[in-house]
Parts: sequence; structure tokens; C-alpha cells
Amino acid sequence: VDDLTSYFIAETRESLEQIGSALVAWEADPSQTARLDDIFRFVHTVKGSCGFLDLVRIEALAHAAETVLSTYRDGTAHADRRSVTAILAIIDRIAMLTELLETDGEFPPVNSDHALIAAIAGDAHAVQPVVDVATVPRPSRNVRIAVDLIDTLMNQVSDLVLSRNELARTLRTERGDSAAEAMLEQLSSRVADLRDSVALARMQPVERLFSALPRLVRDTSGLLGKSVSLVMTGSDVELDREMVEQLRDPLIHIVRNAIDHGIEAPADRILAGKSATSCLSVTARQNGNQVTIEISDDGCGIDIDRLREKAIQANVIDARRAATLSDNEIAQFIFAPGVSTANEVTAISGRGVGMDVVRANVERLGGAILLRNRPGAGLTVELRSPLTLSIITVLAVTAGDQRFALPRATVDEVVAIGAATVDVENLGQGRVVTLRGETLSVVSLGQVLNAHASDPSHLVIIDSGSGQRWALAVDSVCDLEEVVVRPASPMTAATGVFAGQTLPDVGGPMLLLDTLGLLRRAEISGEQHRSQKETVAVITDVALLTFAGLDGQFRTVRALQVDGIEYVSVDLFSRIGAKTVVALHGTFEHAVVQGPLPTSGDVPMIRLLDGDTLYAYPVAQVHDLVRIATSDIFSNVDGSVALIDGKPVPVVDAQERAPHAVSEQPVVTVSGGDPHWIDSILSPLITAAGYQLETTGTGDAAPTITIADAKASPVKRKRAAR
Amino acid sequence: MSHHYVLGTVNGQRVAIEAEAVESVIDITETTPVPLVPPSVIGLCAVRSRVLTVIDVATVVGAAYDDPKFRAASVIVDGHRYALRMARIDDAIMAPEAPAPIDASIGANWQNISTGRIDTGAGFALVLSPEKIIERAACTD
Repeated sequence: VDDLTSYFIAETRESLEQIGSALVAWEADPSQTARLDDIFRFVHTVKGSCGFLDLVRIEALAHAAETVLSTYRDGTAHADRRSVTAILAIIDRIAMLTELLETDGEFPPVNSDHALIAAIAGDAHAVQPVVDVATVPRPSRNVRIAVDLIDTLMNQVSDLVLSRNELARTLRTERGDSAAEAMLEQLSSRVADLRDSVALARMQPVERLFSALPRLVRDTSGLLGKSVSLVMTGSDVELDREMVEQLRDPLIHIVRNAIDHGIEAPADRILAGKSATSCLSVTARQNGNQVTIEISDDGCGIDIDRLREKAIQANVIDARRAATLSDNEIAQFIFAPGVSTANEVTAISGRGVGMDVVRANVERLGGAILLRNRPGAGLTVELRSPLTLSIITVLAVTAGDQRFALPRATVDEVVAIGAATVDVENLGQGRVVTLRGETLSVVSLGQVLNAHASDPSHLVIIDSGSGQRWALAVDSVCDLEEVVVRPASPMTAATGVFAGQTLPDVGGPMLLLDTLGLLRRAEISGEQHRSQKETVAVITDVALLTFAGLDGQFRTVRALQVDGIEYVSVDLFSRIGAKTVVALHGTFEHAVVQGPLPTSGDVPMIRLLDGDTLYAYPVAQVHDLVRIATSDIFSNVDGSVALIDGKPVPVVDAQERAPHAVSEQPVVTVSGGDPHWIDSILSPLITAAGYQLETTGTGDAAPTITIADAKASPVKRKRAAR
Repeated sequence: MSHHYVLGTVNGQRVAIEAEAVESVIDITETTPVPLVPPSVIGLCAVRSRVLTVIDVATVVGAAYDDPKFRAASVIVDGHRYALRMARIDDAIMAPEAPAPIDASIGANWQNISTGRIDTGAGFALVLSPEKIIERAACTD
């Protein structure tokens, strides 16, 4: 159902409701013609709209009713009970067909319409067709709501979240009132549900994004003398209204580029053995909470050799380095400022501004752009965008005394300056860091922002696209947060280093950093900031986060199981029987406390992820992120030990730490099988399903899986409400 | 036709902003500074879960803010929310006549952001345009 048709459906339904009372009055007394005008106007409007929308069946019905009604209006004929019934039958049929349009239901045979029309024309022998009402599917009921109202609603929900946070803070001072805390938890989950519902109300089909494309393709290809057929699929995929707006320009830009640069002139296509008319396909699909829009053409693709030359000409890279890059890495240069593959500047594109802006815009949304180049055969550009609102996950970092947000999608890892494997050294005016054999440029956030008293302690390794890794030196790394990003004011945007502003749950407004802008501001040439990593190692290492536990013991945990690190006041922990919970962001999380908590102040807390359950794990001090070979971890069913700097360090396991009664769980026994596969893949699945895993002897043989008690059902574990 | 105005003071000068353009008058308690912006941009503040960019009107006219209270008029310009910080925003009046034109004698700084003058009954007030204030704020150094 396209835009116009759905508008017609909504309008028709509304008008039907409005003339409802007129119909009822007329049915009761056919001689009463006072409100006949309303009914006449309705069928007249429906007839007009249907002619426009090419809905011939409804048009024929409306036309028949209009003809008869006009004779009643000008007094040349008078309505009787039979003719009123016939007209009402027609209006009912119009209503039914309209609903069927929306639900895509099966239309009744067209000759049943003819019978209705015959009846209205005074053919007494016409048989009233019987339509089984039960077969008509109930349409989903819709109302039209002003966008402003939805935005107001969203703001009110945000206000509600703030009030809840306030309430949570107040309740914290009156500790031990578990009834009040339980109510607060309930309130929190209801507020979260409400926020989800409002977010859903803001969803719009990408149809709105696609509707401008046919015209754009027609005009652009016409102007360039090219022949393009456009295929669009997945226009019913839904996306937040704001994302739809934000993706409009990037999409238009990419489509224009495809027609201008990608698709060849018809004569060239025939010479290349292709059909004269090219095919441009635009496809939307949803994967999890991401929407992918794929723009694919069958043109000439990116000419890698020419792009390499252009990049060298534009001083983005030097010739020697360019020779070492892979084709895919070269292709990324279409996103570099000042590089264009067009031979000449046309009215459409080729000025070398654009793709860098497009990428910056998409990344600001928390999305990404990917390229699949098929030299000589076409180019596919993939636009990925988060589905839900403009809520993105950010990493909060500080420079001076101020907090800033980095989009999590651009952050590869965080390392502490001064750690053994992190080697920062001065290089001329700048600094570089060597990390596991890879040399990266260092940009100091404090310096770029002219922050006072900035003293970097951590490096955030940023990957702004394939191969473009660099290090941002920050004073401290706070935590991961989900925030709603709003556009910044023009003065803020003019700095070039901020992509937006946001209001986190705690604290004042926070600015979202534009990583590409920071890099540009720091005036690092493209040549320098490109990674100098020459060899790609097979992944045989594992990242571990090391820390000192509350009991002083040096421990480590697999970085993959870490959801985030936060500093939390000890006041937020409370002990109930054998369990400890921590009140966090307005909800409770289970905490595993190994050792004595300090009596006051903040304590670093690692959030561990077990399947989809989060556990809080307070520690004395977080040390470092280290990478060791997988062979340096020894594990069996009782736990694991890692070899770090020649010393054994116990590995904390999120599953092992899960604070549920293990003995209550049914046991799954696995014998044989690759121990690595069991540890990394099978074990999380089995424990997540609520079973306890036991292994007996591993090896190359295919594993045998036995459930100890077939009748036992898994213990359902509740996910901590977020 | 009569016009309603919100009255404030900037660097000792009585000023007025059309009440229709003012969303609300707010007391700012805390601002988050924005690095690398012109000095008239004080920072960001949050009002009812919305983020406003705080502009100091005194700085825009080349003077200094001179009130211990952080009071501001919140306005929307081009879809962005701003808090225009001024001293003593404490009155609203109805002026029976349209603003009288102003000339260059008030000085370029004031002329840049004013659209006219009105008689408040207790002296003249310059009518400031939020759009012009924002425009000037973006280019003052």
C-alpha cells in the first residue's frame, strides 16, 4: 500500500465516521433529506480519489451511488426504503473494499458489485449478494497523529525518566525499605516499556525514503543520457522517523553517484557486453536492531588504479605506501576529502565533496557505510543504520574536567598509558604509540579542545573505517551509556569536532565527538594516520581485562564478557540474605561481591555479561587490557588460569560467577568433542538454557550429549530488567 | 495593534524581546562548557530534558555580564533551542505602539541585534531580535 492509497484509506474511514449519523437518520426516515449533502459529498470525494488512484471497482460503486443521490438532491426522484437500503449497501461495500485494500485481503468477486449497482438502479430483481462478514479480516485500527505530538510524548517520557531517577536518589537515602525498592523497580520497568512503545510509534516505513528515488533516477539519468531501471525492495521495513530524515541526503547522494560515476553510457555498456539499460537496485532489510539499505549498480565499479592515482594527487597518501595497500583499502579513499573518481566535474557530482560528508553523517547516527567493489561489474554500497531511535551507545571519556561521548561503533579498544604493552613515544611534534607491532598516531583530546589541566591516562583506539586506526589520548574513560543524540547548535557544529549533543541520565549535557573531525582538526595527514600494520595475523590471541579483586587477589576476565566498567558508590549495594544487588540506572543488577566492600566512596565495578544476563562485579582496581595467546590459558570445568607476564592469574568466568544455585540445575553431560568449541560455543548455550554443563574427556571424536534427568526442565533465569 | 514584550537589562541598557518569541524565562544553575566556540557561547544547559545553548547577550554587544543571577530567556531559532542570558529579566509589558526605528547613533554593536525601540513608560527599551543575536553570537570573537 503506497502513501497515497493509505492516505485515501484513512480519509475514507474518517469521512465514513463523520457521515455515520446522517446515514442512520436517513435509514430511519428516507424522506428526511437534510443531511443528504454530506452523503453526496462523501461518494463524490471517493469517486474523485479513486479515479486518481485507479481503483476502478470502488469508483464504479461511488459513481452509481452519486448518480442516484443527485436525483434525490435536485428533487427529480424521491428515496424510499428500498433505495435507501440499496445505497447503504453500496456505502458498506465501499467501506469493506477500502478495509480490504489496507489488509491486502481477498476481494469478493466483482459481479457481486454489479448486483449492488443494479439494485440501486431500481432493478427489483437484483439479488442482494451475501458477503460472509466473518471472512473479512479485521484491519489493524489506525489513527493519524501529528508528528509534534509524538515528539512531545517522547519528551514527556524523557522527563518521566528524570523524575524516576530523582525518586531513586531519594529512596536511596532511606535504605532498607525493600517494599519501596520493589515498587521502584516495577516503576522502572514500566517506564522502560513506555519508552519502547513511544519509540515504536515513531517508526516509519523506508517507503518515505524511497519515494523520492524514481523521480531522482529518471531526472539524473535523463540529464546524463543514461538508461537506468530502478528496482526497489523492502520499502516496508520500518525505521525511526528521525533516522529516515537523516538518511535521506546520504541515500540521494549515493544514488546520484551511482548513476553519474558507476553506470556507463549505453554505448559503452554494449561494448562491455552488458545490456544498454543498467539496473540500479535499492534494497532495505532489517537484521536485528539494524537496518541495512543496499544500493547496488551493475556499472563499472571503482577503478582502483585511477583512485590510487587521484589519492596520491590529492596528497592523501604517498605513492610508496599506496603500492602496499589492498584494493579494498584503496576503495575506501572515495571517502577521503578532496578525492573524486570523476574525470570531469559535472552538475551532478564529481567535485570531490560529498562522500566524506555522507560518511560523517551516517556515522553520527551510529551507522556505517560499507563498500563492495566489483571492478568492471558494479559497486554495492551498504548503508547501515541503527533501528531504534537515535539512541546510540557511547563511551564517555574526559578531557580536563569535562565529559565527552564517543560513538561506541568507532571504538576498537581502550588501553592504559604506561601499561607494559603500550609504548608511547614522541615523533617530531606529534606522538605515536606502538601496540602489538602496530604503530598509530596519537591525538590528545585535551590538546585539540584546548582543555586546561589535561593529563591523559588512557588511549582510546579508534577505527573510523577500514584500516584507519588511530589513538585518542583521554584523561579518563568512564562508562558506556545509551544516549539520545540531538543535533548541536550551528555554533557548536561549526567547531567541526562535535557531531551532536546529548543529555545522559546522570549529569549535565554532554557533547558527542566527531572522530573524523577531531582527526582533521589535529591536522594529521592521511598518510600518517593510516595504520602501518603490514601483516595480518590469524586471531590466536585473546583479550583479557586484569584487575585486583576486593580481596586483593590479582585476577582477569575475558574482555568479550565485559559489558562495561563503571564507578559506583558503595551506598548503592545492598545485601539481601545471601545475595547482593546494586541499584543502577534505576534498576537492580545482581552483584557478585568477592571480598569486603569499602565502607564509603566509589568502587570500580565491572559489568559481566553471561548470555544476556548482566552481573555486577565490584573490584578494588581495574588494571589493564592485555592480549595473550589462547594457548596461554589453561582451563578445565573448575575454572581457568591465564599466564600473564609469566605469572598465573585466575580467570573469572561470568558463568561461574552467576549467582544462581547451581545444584538446582539439571546436568548436561558432554563427552568427547573439541574442548575449545565446548568452552566457547557449547558451554554458553547450555548454561544460558539453564543447564549445568559437565564434560567427561575431550578429544577429536564427535561429542555425545546426555541430559541427566530427562524430566527436569531448565531453571528459567530472569534477565535483569534494564 | 499592541505588542507584548519581556523586559531585561544588558550592560545597563533596558532591552525588550517580543514575548511571542520567548518560550520561558529560566534560571540557569549549571552549564557545560563547549570548547572551541566563540566567547559569547557560554555552554549548554538542560531544561526539562532539553538541551539549550546558552548565549550571553552582553558579550555579543562587546560588554561583560554583570549580574550574579544566571537568568535567561529561552527561544527557538531555526529549530535549535537557545537560552539568551541577560541581567534582570523581571518584567513584561504591553506596548500600545509598534517599535520606533533606530539609527546608527546607538552604536554598531547594538544596531546589529536591535530592530527598534519602544517606550516602556519608564524610559526607552531596545527591541532585540533573537535571530540577530544568534547570528552575531556565531561570529563574535
